[in-house]
Amino acid sequence: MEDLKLVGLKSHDCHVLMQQLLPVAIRGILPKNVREVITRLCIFFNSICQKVIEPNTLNDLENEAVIILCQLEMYFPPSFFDIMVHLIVHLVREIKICGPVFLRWMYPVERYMKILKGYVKNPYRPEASIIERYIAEEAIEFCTEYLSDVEVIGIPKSRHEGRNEGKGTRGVKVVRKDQHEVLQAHFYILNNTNDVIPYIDSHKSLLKSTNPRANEKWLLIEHNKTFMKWFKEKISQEDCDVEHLKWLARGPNFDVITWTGYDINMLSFYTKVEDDKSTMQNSGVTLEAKSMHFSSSKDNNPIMASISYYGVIEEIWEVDYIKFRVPVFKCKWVDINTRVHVDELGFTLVDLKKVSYKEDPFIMAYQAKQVFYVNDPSNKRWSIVLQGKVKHDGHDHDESTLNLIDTPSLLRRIPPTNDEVDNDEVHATRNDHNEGIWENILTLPQ
Amino acid sequence: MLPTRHYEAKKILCPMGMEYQKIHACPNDCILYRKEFETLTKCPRCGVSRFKVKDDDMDEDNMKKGPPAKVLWYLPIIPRFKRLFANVNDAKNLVWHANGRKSDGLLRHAADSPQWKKIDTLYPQFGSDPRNLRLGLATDGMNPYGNLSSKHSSWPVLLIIYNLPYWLSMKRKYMMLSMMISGPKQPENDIDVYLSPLIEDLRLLWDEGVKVFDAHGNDNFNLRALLFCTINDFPAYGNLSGYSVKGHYACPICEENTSYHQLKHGRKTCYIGHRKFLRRNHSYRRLKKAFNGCQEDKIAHPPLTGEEVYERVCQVNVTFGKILKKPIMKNIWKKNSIFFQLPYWAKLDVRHCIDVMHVEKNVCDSIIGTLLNIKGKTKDDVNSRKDLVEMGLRLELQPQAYGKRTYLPPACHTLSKVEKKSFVHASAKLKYHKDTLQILRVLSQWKI
Repeated sequence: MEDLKLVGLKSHDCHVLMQQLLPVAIRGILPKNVREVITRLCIFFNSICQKVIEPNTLNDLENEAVIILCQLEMYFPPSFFDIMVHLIVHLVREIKICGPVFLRWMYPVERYMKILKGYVKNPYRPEASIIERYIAEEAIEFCTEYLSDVEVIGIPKSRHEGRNEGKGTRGVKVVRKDQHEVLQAHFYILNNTNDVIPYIDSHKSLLKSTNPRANEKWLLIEHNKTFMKWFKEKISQEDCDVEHLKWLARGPNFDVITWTGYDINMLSFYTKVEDDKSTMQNSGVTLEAKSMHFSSSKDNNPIMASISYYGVIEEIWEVDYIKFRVPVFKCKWVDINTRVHVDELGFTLVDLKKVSYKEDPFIMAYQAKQVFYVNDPSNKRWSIVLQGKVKHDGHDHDESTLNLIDTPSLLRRIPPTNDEVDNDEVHATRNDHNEGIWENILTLPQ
Repeated sequence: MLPTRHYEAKKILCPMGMEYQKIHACPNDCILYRKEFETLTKCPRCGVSRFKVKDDDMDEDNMKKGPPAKVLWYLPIIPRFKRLFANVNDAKNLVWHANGRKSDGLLRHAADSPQWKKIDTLYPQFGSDPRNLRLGLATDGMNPYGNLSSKHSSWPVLLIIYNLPYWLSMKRKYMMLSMMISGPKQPENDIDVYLSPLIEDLRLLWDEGVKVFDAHGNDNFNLRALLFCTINDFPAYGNLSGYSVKGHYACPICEENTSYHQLKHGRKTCYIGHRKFLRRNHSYRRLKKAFNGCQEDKIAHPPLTGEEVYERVCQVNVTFGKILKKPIMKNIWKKNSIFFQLPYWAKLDVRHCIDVMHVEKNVCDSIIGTLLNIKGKTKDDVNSRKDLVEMGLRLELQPQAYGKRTYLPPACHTLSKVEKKSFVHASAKLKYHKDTLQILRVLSQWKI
């Protein structure tokens, strides 16, 4: 512990550390005010690095930078404030005038230098070999424009390319599943297929007209029970000519193809079991859904609300409808009433041990968004939810598809704090421990 | 058929390759051997030979030929722009900012920014044709010899085209290497000497423009280009802008109004006093003990505009070169930057961008170093405590001597051993996505 060295942390590591990990790592340590200001600094950096920025928020961000620096001045020694810390004040001004940061930062330039460095073959004339190879590459690059069947130099290809519609990546197995479960998945798929929705509505209104006195909850249960059968009959009666619907109505095959890894929407998902073997985490999912929200099992008047559900993938299925397959994730969901809460800084905490919604474990694969669960160091029971990355790269973009909501952010908002403090006190010592620093220095302080 | 030999491959590629110019330079960065100096064999300023001289060879004849002592490689930009426009796809992408962009008031691209729009209104003729290019210039020192501890530093100059869609403009294919300043020494303040061919081309592209065939629109047009901003780390920021980014007035935006404090024991300058950026009646301004012992009533000055900067630098005369003994300059502006030769340069609000990457990295390093008390990285050591005593602040923290050792009482950011453990464990045991793997490797090396 005495001679720790911070070696090998590259710029991008610091970026990730600052943007995602530091606020989590300092939870539960440090006095509250110091922790808060570091967290706010991280959130500040995260929000200025966003790819899409709302211009109205920039004034607030500029003030936020100043307040963060003032607070740092309260707690940290003067030698902390080198010129780099001071420059934080001016960052927002440049965004205001010149646009988003990601077009003006050095990451691509530094990466380019790495490539140029690799061009050096003759160490006696490093610059000459860089130029010669650059010219050669330029020429080849020019040729690739006019040749078919070649890949372009210098534009990376996403490894998800061609897999956007979903593709299993590992651990394929065909398993005969319990009928009840498959029908559950089938029902979920029906509920989330656009073509089926008019049928759902008509079935619901049919139920309502036949049972005018029933309450919402009873109707929902009854609908869930009888819809599948009704839908099948309806489709065969109507002699519907949409191929897709016909096969859907016939119902699924009970032999289900399962995967342990699946790529969809530029994201990779693993099952929990596969994840435990891996060094990365790919099993966390979240689903933002408009759904009937029952605040308790006795609640008969649900409210429609948009709620984020958090869960972990247990199994990945491709439900087989003979002509086509539909990928669904079978997940363990966390009870959003009691096991999810948002703390005062705006982090979402979940308790992954308590599972609920066992009767409805499925989601469509395309709906899933990735999240990461990180154990909360201040409280073992809870895990912190970190938003997953949404990739925008890839040259198959025809139009700008950046949306404000899709950009990953640490928190959606800057946590509110009371900056207007009037009690003038010195923030110097820590009271909760007295482990100062010992230094072997012969000269005495004067 | 693939060529069997390297020589053959080169022969095939040769007619397709673009041209480049080798411009000889004075090894002390005084001049480039071009234009009026084209035929000289000796630098007119410092008298050093244009060619490499062997130590024992003092013969006059040998001084007139041989390999050049220092070379600037210039890859002319105009033919490269012509080639870009000759390709249908690229030409289409180059007008993306006018045609394909979503404009809903959010900042997504440099084209959404006020500076872009300001250029459009100031120079309506330039702004009216979306094919006119707006460029970013990035430069940084790099060591071409792997990780050897050699100090050799070459400076590539890259151009970024902001007309392209944001998912392409920073990609390797579209970042143009326009110049390579060879080492071994850094050009530092004399980088202007080397940039001159590029700036001349940029002036030509601004003043007159070049006839270019546009494959997308299928017509000839007059291409003009503008330098939108430069991207640099902070030392290079100083070299390009001509501002001295060291010393008391290190901040190029606050300029003379930078608030600094010279630390006696730490022997550094620190830049405190950020309360002056707060609004006039903010309660922090009234606090005394929590900050530096007094109330703050200064107000931050608005940053200098381009014209004001130009006023300050237009009188500064410098002779470039490393050997000449320079008079010690009191002026914080070191030179009249070559960019001011571009007529529009003084009109831009942000000419040089502060690089967020370096700021973030350095701040992150300082925070982690201070929190974990890593030797050499921590900002909280005996000297900084002594400085606090000197400033008369937070006297509870003053170092206490116990025989040979000195005890620094815990400050509010000092971690206890348990907390350090918790910090390292929390970050080292994360399972996250692949960006973090490197960090985990580093963190897991920290043994407690």
